[in-house]
Amino acid sequence: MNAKLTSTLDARLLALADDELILAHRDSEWTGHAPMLEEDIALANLAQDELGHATLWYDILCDLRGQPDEHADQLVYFRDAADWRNAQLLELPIGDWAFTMLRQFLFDQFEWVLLPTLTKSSHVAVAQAAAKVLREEIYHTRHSTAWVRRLGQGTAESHRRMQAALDAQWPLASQLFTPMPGDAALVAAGIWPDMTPLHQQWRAKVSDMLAECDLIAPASLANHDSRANHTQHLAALLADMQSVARLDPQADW
Amino acid sequence: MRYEIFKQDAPNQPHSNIGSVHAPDAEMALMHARDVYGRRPNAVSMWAVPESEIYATSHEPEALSLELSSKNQAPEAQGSWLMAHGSRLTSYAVFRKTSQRRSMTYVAYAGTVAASTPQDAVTAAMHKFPSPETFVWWVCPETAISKTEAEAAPSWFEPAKDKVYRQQSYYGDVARQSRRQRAEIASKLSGADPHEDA
Repeated sequence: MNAKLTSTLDARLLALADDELILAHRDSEWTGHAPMLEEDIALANLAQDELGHATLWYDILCDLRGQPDEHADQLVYFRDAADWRNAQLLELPIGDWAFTMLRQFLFDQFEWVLLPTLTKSSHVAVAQAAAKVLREEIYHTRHSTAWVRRLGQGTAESHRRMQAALDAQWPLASQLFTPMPGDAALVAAGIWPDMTPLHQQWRAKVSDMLAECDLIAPASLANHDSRANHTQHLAALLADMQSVARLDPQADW
Repeated sequence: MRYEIFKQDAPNQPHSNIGSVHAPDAEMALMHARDVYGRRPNAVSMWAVPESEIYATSHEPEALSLELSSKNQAPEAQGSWLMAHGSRLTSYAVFRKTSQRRSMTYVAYAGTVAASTPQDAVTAAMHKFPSPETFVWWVCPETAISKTEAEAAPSWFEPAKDKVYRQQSYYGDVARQSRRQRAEIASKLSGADPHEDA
């Protein structure tokens, strides 16, 4: 793989791993606070799953960089906000249950269109990881879809909360599909799919669900912010998540 | 609404009651069941049955034909149950508890019988599934059972097998290892036999 391909794949893997890691952390914040015991356990499971997925992508990234797996811990615990590449959607505070379920739904649907194409990647490790993640996403998608439908079609209050969540999240969601420099070469090499058609598939699937729930996506311009830009919420999340590891950087876990 | 959950550990084993979940409908009940009871890897299928659809009776010698207190249905409730389900023949799923060996032994699926009332279903079950000891019978209309789809199993249950960190034994191993490591470190520091005062 030439240097340009390697650096673009590096950026793609880092973005996906960071997306999963930050979502995992946000989901984990519900542990002990979810509205029902059953959902408390469900969301803890989801958080562990997303953390596992992040680990898969970080490990491939470590191999690509010729770094040992421990490098992933360095990336997660000793990197400042400016160096993270997650989409802004995922770093927003958890909000209410509707907000968390809608974000999970939008991200699950993103993975739902991305992963089947990634399983055909010419990069073997990427294809294998995608197959593993996709298996779990079948359940994730079912879970988040069930909640969006029940809250969207539920009471006036639950519908109002879903609409408020959609108003806040919709403008940010398209950043998941924002092209990156060098994408064309990755697509040509069969390593990573072209995100533009995936964005259309995603919008079609999500729009069907929103229509079913009488939810109206706000008319807003797509967010084409670079993934290097973040809201103030990411720094606060990292300060919390990294605090223990940074107390003693030499500690052996 | 409360749903009783039945988990199948392997394809050749019966579905056994494992506990209950609260859920607004059967689909959510099955998802909750997966999340609550499928975290440990032994599961290939789950069933959910609304608590109100289950007729339960204990069969211990001293309490023959008395309903379990937790499943007790007042006579009026049984009357309304009959009103709701009619008197024509219905296929009932039968679950029974045949062992007191462990406190966590719940009822397991035995098969089906055709009957016009749940009480008749229990009587029919006693004839169809004779055993020296049956302590508890549960029956419910077969149509009251919601089941996980066979094709869903790889996504619902298989991934748990890889998540060893959810199993208690994983942490037991870590603890043993670190005790040994600590003992080795201590022996290097002191020159003593690490196993002497283990």
